[in-house]
Amino acid sequence: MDALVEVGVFLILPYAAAALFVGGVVWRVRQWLAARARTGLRSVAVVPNTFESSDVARDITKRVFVFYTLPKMEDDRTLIVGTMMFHYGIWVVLLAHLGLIVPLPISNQTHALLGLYIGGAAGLLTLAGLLVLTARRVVSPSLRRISFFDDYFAVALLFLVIGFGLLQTLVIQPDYLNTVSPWLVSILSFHPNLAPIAGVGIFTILHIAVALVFIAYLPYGKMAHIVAYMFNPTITGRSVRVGTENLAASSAAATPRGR
Amino acid sequence: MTGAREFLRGDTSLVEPFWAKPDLLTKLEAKAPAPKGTGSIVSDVLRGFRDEASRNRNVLLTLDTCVHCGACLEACPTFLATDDVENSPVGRADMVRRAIHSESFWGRLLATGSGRHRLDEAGLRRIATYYHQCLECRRCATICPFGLDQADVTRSVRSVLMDHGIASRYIATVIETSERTGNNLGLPPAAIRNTIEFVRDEIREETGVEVRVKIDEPAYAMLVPPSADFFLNLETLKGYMLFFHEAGIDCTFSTEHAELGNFGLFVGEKHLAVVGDHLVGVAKKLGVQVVLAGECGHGWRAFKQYVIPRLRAEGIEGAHVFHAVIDAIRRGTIRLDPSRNGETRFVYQDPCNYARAGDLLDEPRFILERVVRNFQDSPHNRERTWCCGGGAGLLTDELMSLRLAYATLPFEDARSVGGQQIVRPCAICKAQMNAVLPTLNKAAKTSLTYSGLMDLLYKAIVPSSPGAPASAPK
Repeated sequence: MDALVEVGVFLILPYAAAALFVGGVVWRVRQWLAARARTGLRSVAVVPNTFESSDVARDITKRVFVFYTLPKMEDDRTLIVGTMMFHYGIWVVLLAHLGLIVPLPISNQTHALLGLYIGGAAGLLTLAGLLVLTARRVVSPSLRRISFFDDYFAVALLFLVIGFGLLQTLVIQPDYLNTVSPWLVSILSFHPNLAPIAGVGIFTILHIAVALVFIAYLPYGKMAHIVAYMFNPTITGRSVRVGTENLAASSAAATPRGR
Repeated sequence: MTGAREFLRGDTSLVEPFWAKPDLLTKLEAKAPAPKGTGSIVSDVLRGFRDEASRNRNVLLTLDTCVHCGACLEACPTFLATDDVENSPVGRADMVRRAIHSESFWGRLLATGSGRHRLDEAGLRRIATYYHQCLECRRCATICPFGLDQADVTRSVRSVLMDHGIASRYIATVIETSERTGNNLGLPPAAIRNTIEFVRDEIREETGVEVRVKIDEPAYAMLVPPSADFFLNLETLKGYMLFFHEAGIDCTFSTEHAELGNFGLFVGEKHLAVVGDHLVGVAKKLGVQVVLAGECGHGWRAFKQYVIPRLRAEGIEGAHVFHAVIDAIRRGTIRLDPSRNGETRFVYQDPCNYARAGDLLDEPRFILERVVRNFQDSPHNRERTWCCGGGAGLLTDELMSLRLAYATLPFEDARSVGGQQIVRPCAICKAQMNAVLPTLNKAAKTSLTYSGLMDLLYKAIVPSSPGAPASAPK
């Protein structure tokens, strides 16, 4: 492998991407936290009867795991279907990638098989979901009108990352446990060791390179939605409690009418 | 001659409100000062948008992290009724997003493909027009997976526009009138007294009950109805008056603040505060222990989310009149006979600001179940309710083509379940229904009517006074 590519992709790019990611997250979160106004209202909660922290927690959980706001739509089911396929798929894919850095009490052979079947199935589900969402965006004239560079850029990066990943998992099936895994651990532990990854195939290089670009881009575009909603007072805010209990004294104070 | 402009499906860009003249806005600035301009309205507004985005998190997140999934398109009545993408939550926000992003390289890159970038006066007019077609109904916010509230973005954008001389004449006029007279219609105290006394006489004629009414007197409670109840919705007013009398609640009206509506809500926070603070001051002056809100959707949102916290800081409670009705029903201090409302098939449609901004969902249903025999929810109910089509300051003749288009959604909803009378306990809903139902009924060959909820309570109350007529009021 060209030494320049090796150093560029496996040494400089990971730390550059991490720096851009961390810097971007800090920049974004500081921006969000600094914006404290709520158009003059005590509460701008969008979910009715949100009075307790537990109501907020329940709402966020439902948003994250079942996308519960979406099925309320009457006509277009492609959004909820594509969303579920993509997100459920990518969560499993991301969890599976943790297996690269967290030692598992299973043999490498079992690990590789799990990667092939579970990782491969999850990757296909993710890809199918992304295809549904992209087709929806491209086919609908209304959605085309509201889709810009940022939307397509994010989609393009995801297609590339998932595509290269699936190509390896399902077709090439490289020995990533003895190449990518030790390299990734060395990078994360700040003791970079490029030796294990030297000589990996072009699609492994491309998968890693595009994934790192995607990580670097995450905080800067619309992909910040992954965490942004948890900062929105419309979701985290609690409403003002008003009810008959606030009138407990009303009848007592009422003028007796001898009924 | 209403000045209303028709629109072609897919393009509502020409349906503008009449814009407020500078002298009207100058009067408003006396109550709530606007920032000084630099002379270029485009750069002033752009700076205003940026400032608003930097201080309001919902606006910032909407502009920065909306994923353009289009869920709000499926939810938004203004888009569904007109098919114009710019007349939609995401479409409107994108106009502002483009304008702000045009200022930076990164912004221009992200917005590539979105057409014209640099904001000019024509673009500004387009933004103002489309932001005055939004109903602020928050249906988009309940559908958005990230809870992005485009209705509150509309309030922020309108606030910036108003600061720099662009405002709906109707909204600005109502705010100015409310701040000057204490009610949106500009009713003088004598007119309010006359109406209350006239209604008291009507109640006596219809029920035999001589209701005792306090006006501008110290009392346990103060009722703040929308001023439309002194003018258009007299049956609702009868409902309040007979209820308080029968429930034995010591309640007063105020002529100094005879308005629950708060059009300041529609244009940000400054005038919301001016109108809301006036109400708090009047409640303190009258020495009441509790302030009760009448039937008005947006007024309830402003009251609940702005006024009640301030009342509580003064040791005064706040609630909706429905809470008092439920309390009375539970305590058995009023007697109800639902048969007095006949066999009409009532359809309940939640006002937007009750369902999506005011936590008032079960309360009206609790009352309805006890005052009519035959009612059902509209198919789109609770958080999914359709706006009447007149919210957010659109209740003006020059926007009638839009109002009619928007109103077809709740109208068809009621028709689909064979409804005969729509129940919408909100002054704007009622005013909108009053204006659009004749046209919609004519086109559909139907005869749907509308009412509030206190109107139905009025008819269902079995008066306690001896000599009350046996039959329900007509």
